[in-house]
Amino acid sequence: MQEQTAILEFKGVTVRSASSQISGISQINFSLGRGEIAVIGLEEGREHIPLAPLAQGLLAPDSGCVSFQGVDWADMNASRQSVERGRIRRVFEHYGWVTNLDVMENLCLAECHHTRRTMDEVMQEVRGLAGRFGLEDIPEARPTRVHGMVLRKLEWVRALVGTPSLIILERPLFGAPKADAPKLMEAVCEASRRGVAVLWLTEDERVIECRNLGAVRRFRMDGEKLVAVSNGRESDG
Amino acid sequence: MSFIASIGQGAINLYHRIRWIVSISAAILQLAFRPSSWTKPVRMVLTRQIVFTGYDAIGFVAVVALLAGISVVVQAQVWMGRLGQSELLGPLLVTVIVREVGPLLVNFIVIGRSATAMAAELAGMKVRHEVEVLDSQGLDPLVFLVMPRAISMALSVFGLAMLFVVFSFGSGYLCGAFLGTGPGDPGIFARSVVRGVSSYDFYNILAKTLIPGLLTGVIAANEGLSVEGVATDIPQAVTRTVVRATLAVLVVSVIVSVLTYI
Repeated sequence: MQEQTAILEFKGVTVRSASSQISGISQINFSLGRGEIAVIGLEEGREHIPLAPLAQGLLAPDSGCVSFQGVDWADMNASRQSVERGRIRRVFEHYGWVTNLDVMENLCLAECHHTRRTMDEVMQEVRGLAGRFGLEDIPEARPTRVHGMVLRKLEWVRALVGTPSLIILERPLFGAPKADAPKLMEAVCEASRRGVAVLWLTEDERVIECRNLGAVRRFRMDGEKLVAVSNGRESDG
Repeated sequence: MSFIASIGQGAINLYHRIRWIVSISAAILQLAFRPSSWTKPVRMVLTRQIVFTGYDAIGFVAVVALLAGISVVVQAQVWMGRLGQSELLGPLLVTVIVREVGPLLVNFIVIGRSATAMAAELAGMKVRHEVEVLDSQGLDPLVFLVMPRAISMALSVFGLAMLFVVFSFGSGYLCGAFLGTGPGDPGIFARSVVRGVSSYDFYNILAKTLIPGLLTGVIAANEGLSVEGVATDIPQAVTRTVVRATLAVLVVSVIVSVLTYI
């Protein structure tokens, strides 16, 4: 049987810390197939670990390579990179909004840009997903005028809209009500069952320890290294 | 570094800057002619920019055109009448208003009103990491941010220049008629202006509006997006935009005039 191409693959990836915006990482190896979830436990307070920008080809590693759907980001031209990034959704560690667009435009932006779906169709899906997280109305204002907690949940909505190949969640529970964490986990499990690969970066023990997430591979950042965690034991990732 | 070396280094830097701006402009034109670039969100940005740069500026451009029309057209009418050369009124007005003053003033208005705002807006987006947010969603900043802004600026400058010409001739004629210095009959005035227009004037106004408009948009976007994560750099980016776009407009205007009429 032909081996299935990994959705995301890190091979010996090293990034040296070049600024306050990037924490260094060293010799990261892991791959993520269709429908798999990788949970990476982060040390509390350690920010700017560049796994998400590397996974999206927004940051070139100092050594090693990152492939998306079997192709190294470095081998794609700018136009191909944009198309491939259109198959990835991301919840940002910090602020992830475009302030000169209103909230609904932000939510529909990627889907309307990369697909032929109408705005109404996408808005309908957005409203349905928002309802799952207890948001009955989508604010009509620009993001700067919306409460951070609402924005955080709307970032979850944006990550789940459409049919992405990969969802990257960078500390998605930061700033969100604890009571909503199970709803996000359930939505992520559903996406994974549809074949979406999920990379979940978190320092929340509930997620790291959660046994209901399905096909999960667990890792932990130990300094600059990624360590695989299985049945309570740790080994080099 | 010696004086000569610093001049040489400055010339090399200027050459690289011009080559960079021309390359981006060429890339934008190439993208603009590709239908797949014009997705719904990109069309939305283009529409908003045309409204902001073109439509919202009509009032201000109209006022400037009225005032320019009164001062230039009335003076031309008076002096041509005194010299007994009233038949040269049309060609003179076309030379002054259509070929030079109209396009230049409109370009300067757009630089002051819109290019500065554009540079500040894009610099703010860069500082707040919003460009990365767009990029991470597969929206190429060149396609989503720069292309619609530069194209809208070129189209707006052209449209506003046409309005400027109409308003300034209209106000000049009306003021001349009111003061008794003009030809009186609007038909005579219109015919003398039309006689002064040649086919070169059409290419001239196209070149003096579309090219500088595009360059102004590219320069503003380039300066805005060159800011590296510090909000205090935004005013400097705006200042550089005004200086460089003004220079670009003047240089293009001189080159087009030389190529068209000499």
